[in-house]
Amino acid sequence: MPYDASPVIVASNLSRYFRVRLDGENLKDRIKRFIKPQYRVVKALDGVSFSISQGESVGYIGLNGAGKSTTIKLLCGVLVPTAGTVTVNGLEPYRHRTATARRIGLMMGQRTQLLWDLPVHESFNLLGKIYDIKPDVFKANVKRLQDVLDIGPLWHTPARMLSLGQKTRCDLALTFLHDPSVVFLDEPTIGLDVLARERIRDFINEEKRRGVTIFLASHDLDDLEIVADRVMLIHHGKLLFDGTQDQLRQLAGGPLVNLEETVKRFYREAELG
Amino acid sequence: MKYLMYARSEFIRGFRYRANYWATVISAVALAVIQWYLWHAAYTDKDLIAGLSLDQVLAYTLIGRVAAGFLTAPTAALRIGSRVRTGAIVHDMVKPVDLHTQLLWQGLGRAGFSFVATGLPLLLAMAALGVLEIPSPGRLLLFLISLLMAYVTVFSTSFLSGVFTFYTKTAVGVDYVYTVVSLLSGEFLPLEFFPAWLRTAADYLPFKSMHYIPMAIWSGIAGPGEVVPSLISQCLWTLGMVAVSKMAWSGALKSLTVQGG
Repeated sequence: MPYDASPVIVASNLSRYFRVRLDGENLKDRIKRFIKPQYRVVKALDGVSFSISQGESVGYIGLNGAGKSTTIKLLCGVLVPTAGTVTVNGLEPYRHRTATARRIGLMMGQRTQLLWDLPVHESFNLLGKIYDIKPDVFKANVKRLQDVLDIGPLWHTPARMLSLGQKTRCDLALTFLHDPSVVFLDEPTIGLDVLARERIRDFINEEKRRGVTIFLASHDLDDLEIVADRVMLIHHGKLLFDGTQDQLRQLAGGPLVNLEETVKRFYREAELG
Repeated sequence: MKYLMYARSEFIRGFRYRANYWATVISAVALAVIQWYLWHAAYTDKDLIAGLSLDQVLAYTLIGRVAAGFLTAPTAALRIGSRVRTGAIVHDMVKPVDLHTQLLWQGLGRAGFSFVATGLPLLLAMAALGVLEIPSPGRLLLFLISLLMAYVTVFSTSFLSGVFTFYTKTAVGVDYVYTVVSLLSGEFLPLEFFPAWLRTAADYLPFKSMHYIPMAIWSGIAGPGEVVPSLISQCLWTLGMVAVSKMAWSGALKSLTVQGG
């Protein structure tokens, strides 16, 4: 894979803590803590460092609550780190949110960015204007995305009438519309059937070949097995593993074919310490 | 102008909800009818109350009903805090736009739909029935300018309150505070009806700019000598509230804590 040697994403000792207000055990406790709140600190992300080069595709794995979404939000500039630093395209995302936003794409499988009440094409026109995409580039990109994701027939359908699979394809197209250099995908295939999933993976692979850096967080390990050159495994806010899929299998104790078994074994060993 | 697209999307969105639309129309008509009978009853044996004639008060409250949809549309910005916290606007936050400006224009699209679809027909119907008199072109123009400034002030105030809930982590309470705002803005009654101390308080608060000033201009409650000073004070409050709400937002962005996920 022809990687550009310059790193696009650099995280150094990146941490994000959340302060959670404690609830009382009984009424007396509750009253006490209502007057004088007590907090517990949750380390959603705890001193994570990595560097990702242009054109790389990284699979980001972790159990529920491991810190995957927090990482993505930090990389997009939606969250400010508690400690450590992160740069995307050389900029700190939360300090330069707008400049960062021009060059990244974010797709969340659980949250559509389509204009809910309006026909699909309205969402594309809106983003075309927001990103200042030149009319000829816009036309070419729309044409390409329509063909690859087969969303041309949905063009005039209101977003709320789309099936989950159709919606996901439209959301993916919107994410890639402005030719971002880095794309963050948070569980893009969630809830999809096998054929729809395959189609999404093919598309992501195609974009990968076009040189887009892919940061893919998913629970579907098949997604990662097919799409990701590199795997990062996060557990309780810490980076447990960062390397190729083969390296991960070796570490987990053997050349198992199935990535899922490998990952499970890895987690179990991490839990045992 | 990319923000115009946001207004456009919200404007055409209004056409999706037919049942909602008719409900709004019926409610607007009903509220206008209530105002009509209420004030006629109040003025049964009187020519003037608080120095205002029946015609002035009716003009004030009825044009208030016409503008109501236009001026409530931007209060959606009250939810900004909770929408940030639940992550509902993550997608908006990773776009190369200023969220304050985006919401201002989205609200303007909704307000525009409400005005064109509900306010304007109500206005024309009342004018045709002789219930509501349309002022001179000069006053009409000043009214429209004032109404637009009122929109921006309502938006900024709502946005500022919304940013506040971002820190308190709950939106409960903001709605109640807003009831006080509508008292001092003159949304239900012209401020003349209030005791002197409350009117003085209203003079030093931005809320007058959110409703009272445009309606007083339309109804003639603001005399010829009062229109320009009112507009100047409204303009200053508008600019002030925009500046304060923008500053509060950039402060909030610095301590950003989007949750969920």
